[in-house]
Amino acid sequence: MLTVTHIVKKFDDIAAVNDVSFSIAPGEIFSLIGPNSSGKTTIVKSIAGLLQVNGGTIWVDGHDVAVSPKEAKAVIGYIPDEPSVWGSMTGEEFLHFVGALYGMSPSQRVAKINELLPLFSVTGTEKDQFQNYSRGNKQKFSILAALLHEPKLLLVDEPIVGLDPESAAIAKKLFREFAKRGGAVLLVTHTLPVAEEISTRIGVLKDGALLSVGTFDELRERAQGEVGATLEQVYTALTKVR
Amino acid sequence: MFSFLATYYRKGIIRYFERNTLAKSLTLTAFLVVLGAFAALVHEGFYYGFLYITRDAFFGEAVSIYIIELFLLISSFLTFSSALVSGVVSLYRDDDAGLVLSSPSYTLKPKIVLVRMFFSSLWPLLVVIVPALLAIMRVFPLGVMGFVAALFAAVFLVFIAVQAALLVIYFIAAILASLAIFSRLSVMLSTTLLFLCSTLLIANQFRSIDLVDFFQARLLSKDVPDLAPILEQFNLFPSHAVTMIVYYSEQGMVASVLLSLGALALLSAFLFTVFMFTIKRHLPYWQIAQEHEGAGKHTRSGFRGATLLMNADRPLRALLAKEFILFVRNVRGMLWLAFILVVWGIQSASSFLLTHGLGDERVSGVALPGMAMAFQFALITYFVSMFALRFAFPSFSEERKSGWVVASTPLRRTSVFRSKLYFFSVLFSALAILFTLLNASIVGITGAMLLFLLLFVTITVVTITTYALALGALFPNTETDDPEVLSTTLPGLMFIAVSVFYGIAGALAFRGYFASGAIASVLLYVTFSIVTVLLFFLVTKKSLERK
Repeated sequence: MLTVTHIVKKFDDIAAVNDVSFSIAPGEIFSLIGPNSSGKTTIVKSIAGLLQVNGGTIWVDGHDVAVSPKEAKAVIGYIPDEPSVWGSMTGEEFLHFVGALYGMSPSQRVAKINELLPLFSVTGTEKDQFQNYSRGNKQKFSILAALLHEPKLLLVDEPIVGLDPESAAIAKKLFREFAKRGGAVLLVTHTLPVAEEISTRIGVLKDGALLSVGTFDELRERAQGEVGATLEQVYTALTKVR
Repeated sequence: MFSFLATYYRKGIIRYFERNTLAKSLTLTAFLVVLGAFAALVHEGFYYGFLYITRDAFFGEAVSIYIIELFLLISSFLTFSSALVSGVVSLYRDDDAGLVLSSPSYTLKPKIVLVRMFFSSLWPLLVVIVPALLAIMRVFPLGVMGFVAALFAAVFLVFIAVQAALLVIYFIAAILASLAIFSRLSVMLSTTLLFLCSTLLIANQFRSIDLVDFFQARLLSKDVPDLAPILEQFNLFPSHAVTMIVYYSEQGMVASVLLSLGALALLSAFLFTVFMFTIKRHLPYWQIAQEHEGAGKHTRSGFRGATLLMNADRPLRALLAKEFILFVRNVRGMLWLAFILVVWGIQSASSFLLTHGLGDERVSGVALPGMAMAFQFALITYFVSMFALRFAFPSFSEERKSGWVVASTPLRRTSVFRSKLYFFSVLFSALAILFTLLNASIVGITGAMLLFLLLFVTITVVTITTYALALGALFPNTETDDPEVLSTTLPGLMFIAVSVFYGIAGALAFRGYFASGAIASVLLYVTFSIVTVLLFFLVTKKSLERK
């Protein structure tokens, strides 16, 4: 579903992402973990078509993001780390707006919105303006907006920041079910327990480079960690090796 | 703290010029040249105007004083009004003020607002007042000392206007708080109401004037008109003291000049003392304003434009609906819209005053078609430029935080530009056409002239809107999304300067056509406008698609 090959992204002369390659198959939840400024968000934004890479290629569902952005974006659902939306727009209007941009008809949108709102128990708040939402509610609406057009690939940047424990559990369940239905999920986070809990594979990123990729067990093995070691311990060991 | 802020802004300017130094320096130079040319134009306008007026032995002095009084009154009223709008928005806003207001130095916030508003009001006024005073100095015996005194008086006038505006807001806030109905919205609405009432009161002061009687034009027994009625008309306003300083300086009455200057300084000091005392109550009002901003006071459905978005069946329609929703629900923007409309209304009212206040000597636009229409056209261009500067130009930078919503969808980024162009072109054209019709009915021009004017105005509005949007899209600001700050950035000021010149060029083409039938300049102007629109569209399209 997603193939990233040798991508490089520089800001001025500083490489934020340096020769990173990985792929995600349908049904997979792939987590990219790493410290601040390791290039996680830059990679997600490049895949979402918000940034242009300086080198390498990104293929989404058979479409090169640089050559056919329209086709690639049509199958992506993007959840940003900062869910900033126009403050005077209501949650319901925001969902209609996003749906319309993906070519959904008004009736399709109404049906889908009615189906999605109960997922996060936000029914009843959809007519409030964004400026009145808590950060958590903004995050919930941005997750719902990403699911609205039934994408094949979900790009999730810091999925549970701002969500209460109950909503975080719902979000994790949503991503799992999405993958179970054949979707692919790229999760970018430094909340390691989340990555450990739901990922099928994990990539460890540091200073813009991918240090290691594998299942949690494979990473633990590479890190020479004991049985029962947490991802945090594995991550510390792997990033120290370098 | 103020020295820290001054250093911060100074370093910010240095940082701004660190990258693309050549391009930015060239832009700054071009802007200064345009600004200088504008000041020169103001100077020449006043100089030749006064020179012409003084040729008339009977009216000369009286009309000159009247013009200076009117000019200073309108300038100070505009400064007061814009400070009122800026103040009511920025005093209670939750931007980066939380940090300052959580510290023991919480009164710093209103002080910064005062300083910022003073300087942002001062420099545009000086660009107009300095050349005007220089023109007065050339025509009348003002002298260097008189010029300096008048300049100081103008600075005091700005300080008084800005402080008065902030005190009015605090006064309204205190009343609303005592009635337990204080909120950001109630302060905004009450201030707007007060502003409209004061505008009507001032307008009423001049509405009934018969200029022929006012200047005693039919009194054959008089060698020159008596100045007393003119001076009485304005002595309620602080701007009157500045006029009197100019007048006393011309007459060589040094003591009176110093006395008037002292009165202005005293009034400034008094208002400042009251201001310093009043801002101690800023924090509790700000706290309440934040309560109403956030949780608990959710506004429910029935918002303006909601159905437009929900029924949008195409991406472009959804984008247009979004533009409409964001525009009509933006209280701050609506206040600015009302402010510019009121200023435009004042201009239309002055046209009414000039045409109807002359009694039997009334001159209609038909008698002076070229001149009257060119003047109307230049004014319309100016007001449309003001709208474009405040709403169209910052619209791309304003969306930098929520830009991901559209940018991550399959939609081309050019669609955003197109939707903004359609929306603002239609909106500004509608306003321009409305005021064209209003002014045409006041001045009185023929149907053919009106049709020609409307066509010309529409082309100009689309060109100015495209130019504003293109400039905003090509040079998005990554440091702020505040439309007021964005309007005063270098590209913003460049926009207004070029737009004003473009408007003047159009007015001259217009005048040429109606005065001597010179069609070439009109065709050149129209061709230039169409080519400009196409060029800006293509360049912006290319730039947005590359991003």
